Amino acid sequence: MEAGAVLGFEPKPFYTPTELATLIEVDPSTVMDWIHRKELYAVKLGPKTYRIPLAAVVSRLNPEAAKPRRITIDGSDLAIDEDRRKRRPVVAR
Amino acid sequence: MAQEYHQRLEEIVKAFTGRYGQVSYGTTNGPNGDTTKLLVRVDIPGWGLPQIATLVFIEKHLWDPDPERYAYLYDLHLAPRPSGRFAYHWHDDVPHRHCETPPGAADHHYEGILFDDIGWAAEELFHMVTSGISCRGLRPLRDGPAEAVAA
Repeated sequence: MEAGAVLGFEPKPFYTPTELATLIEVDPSTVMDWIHRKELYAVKLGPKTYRIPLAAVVSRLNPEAAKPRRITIDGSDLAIDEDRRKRRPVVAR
Repeated sequence: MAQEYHQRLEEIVKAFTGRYGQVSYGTTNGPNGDTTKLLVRVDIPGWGLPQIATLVFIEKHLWDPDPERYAYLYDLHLAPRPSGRFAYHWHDDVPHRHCETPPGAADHHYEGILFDDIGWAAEELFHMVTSGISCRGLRPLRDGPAEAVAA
């Protein structure tokens, strides 16, 4: 599902706390509280500068849409690993 | 053993969800059942927006004769601009980093570090999404690992 439909407003890769506060109609201090309480993930670019990734916004506002999707992955490299394992013991770290 | 593995998968998926981008994940087994691979892929930003970067975490487990975690590959690809690749790898007993600007640059193995907290490396790599990739200050790796198990 596309971000616009998930969030109900124009999506972008990153938001400032003020931008997000405006979009969801809360005080900027509320967004900062979420960040400080680790209820909303944000990248700290400077002492007072944050950017909030789209994923964090989706997770906060629409947790169902943020759920991870299970996919089928390629395992052809494991045949090589198993063959190498026979020839060379693995040392645990 | 299986329970421990599934706990590990849940831990990794949880570490990525709600942070960097749209998360997908999967697992698969080797042909002899001796190895298991889990993969977490993060499309940044995700949800239908133009792709900025892809973060891929792969961990491989050896099940026979004893359960051991024996490799991780933790890769960031920036695309389309600014393009490049930075990765933390540990396999064949050699922790190392890959740094490619532009992608495909020759001699891209550098001395690496081991880390216990996947969140730490994810954070480091994600900062490159906003600041770009730089290979400055990295020391080339003299005896690099074979690339057969790399992603």
